[in-house]
Amino acid sequence: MSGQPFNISHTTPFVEEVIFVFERMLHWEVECESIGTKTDWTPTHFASGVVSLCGGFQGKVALSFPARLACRIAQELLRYPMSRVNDDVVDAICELTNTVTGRALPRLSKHCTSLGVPEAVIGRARPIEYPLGVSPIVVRFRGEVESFALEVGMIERALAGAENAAALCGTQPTHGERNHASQIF
Amino acid sequence: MQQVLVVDDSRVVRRCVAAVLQEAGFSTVEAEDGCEAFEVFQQREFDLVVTDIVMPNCDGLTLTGKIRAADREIPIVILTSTADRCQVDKAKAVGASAYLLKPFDPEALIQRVETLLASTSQTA
Repeated sequence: MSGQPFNISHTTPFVEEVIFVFERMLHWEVECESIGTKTDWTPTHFASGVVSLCGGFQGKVALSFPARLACRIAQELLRYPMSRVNDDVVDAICELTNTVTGRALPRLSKHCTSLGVPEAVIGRARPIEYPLGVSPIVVRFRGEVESFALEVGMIERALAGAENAAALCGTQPTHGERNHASQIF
Repeated sequence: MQQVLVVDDSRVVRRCVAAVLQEAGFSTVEAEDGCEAFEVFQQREFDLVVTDIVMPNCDGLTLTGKIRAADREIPIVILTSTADRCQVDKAKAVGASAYLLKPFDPEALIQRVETLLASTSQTA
């Protein structure tokens, strides 16, 4: 796949949005522990929410949680006990991933990028399929209970191609500036 | 009691939004995509709709357009994660009344819903 490799500095909006979204949705303070890359596509933890990107940026963004932490997140959001990774847990981690990605992407570029419907990867046997040749950036966060990871594996494409790709995807392109307001109009 | 249709493919979001609205005194009905929502909308009377945009089957902008074609007055609140300008413009074009960002502030949501309902009742 052709395109510019994703610059590690581009993870800043994602890191900031993880901190903001966890604080707003869960009232949890989380902090960045480490940042690096990995050469394999095995999910960092057991339960991962994954959002596919198409257009100006192509690739995937994932939030990967140990099973117990994923259950705790769903428990906090739905307010009833969860002891195993069920559909509600999958839904919760997908929504968190979608919210972080949706907020971060417009801050990266004015290129149009479409977000796919989020999906989950449960277990570590199935890889998260990043674009060929991409080494995902892994940002580890220290949270309330356990650590979790943000994975960003994508390439940046030219604007013209991006708009074409967004049109082909048939979904919503994104571009804009940072916005922490809760109301647009 | 005023009825609000809450549309999102995420059960977590539907539950959170519904809980906030119910605490504020509204009755809620939930739908998980635009197709289901429009069916429910045609069968019952609602005072306001809160919808996500990115959903399988029928997205929130398509749903907004369909509802607006059927009802010119009902307030439709978009609740989504992206403040993309293209998307905001499309939302306005299809007739959305408000555009709020996730993660939502419960007080801001209630305030917006009440303002929209008040302005609707004044024009009715």
